[in-house]
Order: sequence, then C-alpha cells, then structure tokens
Amino acid sequence: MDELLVLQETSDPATAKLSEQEGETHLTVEYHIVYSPGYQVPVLYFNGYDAGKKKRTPLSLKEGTALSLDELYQWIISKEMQQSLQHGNRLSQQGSISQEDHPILGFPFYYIHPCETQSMMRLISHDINIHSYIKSWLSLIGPTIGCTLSHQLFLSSPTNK
Amino acid sequence: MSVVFDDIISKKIWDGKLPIQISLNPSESHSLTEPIFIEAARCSYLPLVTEHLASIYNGLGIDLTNTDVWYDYQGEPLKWHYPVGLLYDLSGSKDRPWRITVHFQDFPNDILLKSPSVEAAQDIFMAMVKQADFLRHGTTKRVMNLSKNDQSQLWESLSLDRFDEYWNVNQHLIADSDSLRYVPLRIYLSNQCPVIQEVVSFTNEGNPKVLGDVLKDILPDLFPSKSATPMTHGIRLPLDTPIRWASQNLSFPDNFLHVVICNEDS
Repeated sequence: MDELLVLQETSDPATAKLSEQEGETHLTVEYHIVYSPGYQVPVLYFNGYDAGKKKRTPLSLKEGTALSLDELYQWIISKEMQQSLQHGNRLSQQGSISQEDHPILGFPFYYIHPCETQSMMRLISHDINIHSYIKSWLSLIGPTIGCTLSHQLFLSSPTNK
Repeated sequence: MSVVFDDIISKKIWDGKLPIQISLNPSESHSLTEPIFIEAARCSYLPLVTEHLASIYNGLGIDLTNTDVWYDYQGEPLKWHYPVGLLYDLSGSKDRPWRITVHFQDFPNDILLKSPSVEAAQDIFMAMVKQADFLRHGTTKRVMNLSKNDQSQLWESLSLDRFDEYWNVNQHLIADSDSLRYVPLRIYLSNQCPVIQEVVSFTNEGNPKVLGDVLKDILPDLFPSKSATPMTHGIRLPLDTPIRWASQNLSFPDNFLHVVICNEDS
C-alpha cells in the first residue's frame, strides 16, 4: 500500500457561489491523486459537495450532499468542455469521466480515466523528470475539472527543485 | 513452454451457479410478500439479475426505467459492479440459498455507484477487460482492435450464457504467451477493506511464480500462514497453483482473477 500516493487538495477547494434567495451556497470540491496499479500512472479523483443540502451520511467526508455528474458539469467543469457531454463524458485527450470506488476510501468518486495518460504525457516528454511529472500531469488535466495550480509551482528558485 | 487452456475447468467456472432467495423490503409496501427464488451465474452481475426478474418486478408495479434497483445482504448494500459469485464469497455467507433483499427506493448514493443499469455494468466490465489487456501486454490494442460487434459480443454472450460465443472473441485477448507482463489480479480481504491491486509480474527472474509467491509478496503478514486461504469461485486455491495457469483458466469473464482471502477455519 505504500506505493499509493495520495495528495488531498483540501487547501485549494474550488468554490462556486450561487446567489439564491436564502443567501449564498457554497460548493466544496475535493481532489485526490492516486496511483493506478492497473495503468501505472497517477489518476485524478474528485467529488463535489453542496453544504446547503443537509444530508448527513456516515461515509461523507464533507457535510452535505454529493453533487451529481450533471451538477459537476454545471459548476466545476470548464465551459469549453461542456460539448464533451455529447461524446460520452470525454475530456478530449485526457480520457473520460467515470465513477468508481475510491481505491483507498472505498466509496464512489468520479475520476478521469487513465488509459490516455501515458500517450498524453509522451507528447511533452522532453525535460520531464520524476519530480516534475506530477506537476506537469496535473497542470494538463486539472484545469478542465476546476483544479488549478499556482504558477509559483513552476518558477525555478533555489528551494524549488 | 505454453500453458494449456483447460476448457473443462473453464466451462465449470463459467457454469458455476448460486441459488439466491430475494426478499422484498417490508417497509416498501408491495402486493407480493413471498420471496423470489432464482439461480444466478456466479460470473453474472446484479443488473443482469434485475433484468431477468423484470417481469416479476413489473408485476409489483415497479417502473424499471425510472428505478434504481439495489440489493443488500444483512443490511450491507451489495456492489452491483462486482460479479455475483465474488459478492457471495466476500459476504462470508454459507447459506444456500443466499438470502438477500431487493430495494426500489432510497438508493444509497454514497455507498454504491450510481445508475445500476445493464449498460453501466457493461461499461465497467469492458473497462476491466481493457485493463486486464493492458496489464498482460502493456497496451490495450488487442481490445481496441476488436470490431464493435466483437466487443459487444463479450458482454452479450455473458448475459445470455453463451460460453462458445464468449470464447470466440476472448481467445484473441487471452492468448497465452511467454512475454506476459503483469497479472490481472484483485485481492479482497473483507468488505470494509479497500480492494488490493498491485503490480505483479508472472515470473520471478524467469521462473514461473505460483499463487503462494504472489500472495507472499503482496500480503507478507498473511502468507505463508496456516490460517488464511485464498478463494475464488467458491474454490479454496492451493498455494502451489501456477499463477499463469490461474490467470488463464480461473479468471472471471472480465479476465481478472478476483481472489477473496478467507479464514482457514470458516
């Protein structure tokens, strides 16, 4: 199990404010990076929660109801990718959005299917070492589902190896 | 040295059946109060079981096109994307028939994957078939090169219980070779434990591995041991089973070995 790498991006939640009569509603999205032993690449898992709809279940990490895929398309997934709905949830070259049990947590999460990751990463393979792989990979597939990285991560500095 | 495809064993695996008693949930009021008895293939999936029972469910006034049907065993929702035989072995039940309950309301979205339809089960099945291909050969080109008809035939022959038609297609995917990379294998300790899948090669420096070697690598605290035993399709597997033969002949129709670790005493 030590080969599974999990990074939980709870420090950078994507929030969307909806103006409603009752006031604003906050959505929280969480992203997990988990290594896939099947395809030997990292995979981006995600779920969104609407704290306004109070439905506690024992397995929810966050208070609130989990968002459906339609709601995720509406609030989280970039507008340019909306057409992919007609093509079976396909995010152009990255792969499809599907749902499966989170490999560690064991309950349903959406994820971007990893079967295209290898060929996608080969397109930018010059200068990728193992330390920059995750940053480069995440910068390619994260933004389409609302997971953006600060440009600071890509500036070279004495401490940023 | 090639591994012989054991068609007798393969047919027995395919034909494995489970008697199941399906009770209705008393809190969902129905006109029918008697439980339903069926015999399900171990290699089948719950959405296919639902499809076979469609006329009975329709008779209860259930509109299947608008209903997410789900099942539980002793209060635990059953994962509809797992083969039925795996669910039974995982449950630890020794009951025959296996007694489960069907629900037409209150689908547990936080526990089960959404939309338990035959189409969704087929999608997940094909994703597993592709992954098994990738693990064995390092590419998915064998699956992707199948015609659309052949790809559909894999699932359809499973749902219609047509062994020969299934193998007409699957022989192209599962053809044994000396350069197989990794074993399509998932290991289940219990329902509460996450599924274990690791990168496992077929050989150790050219020497063929047996099941005991693989389990010792993945679960060094449990193997070798006198109390834990690997089981698939209800069969307790000897630890000296060659892993290449097991992958060829004991896999489920998705070409994965799904192995449950049980207690020796149970």
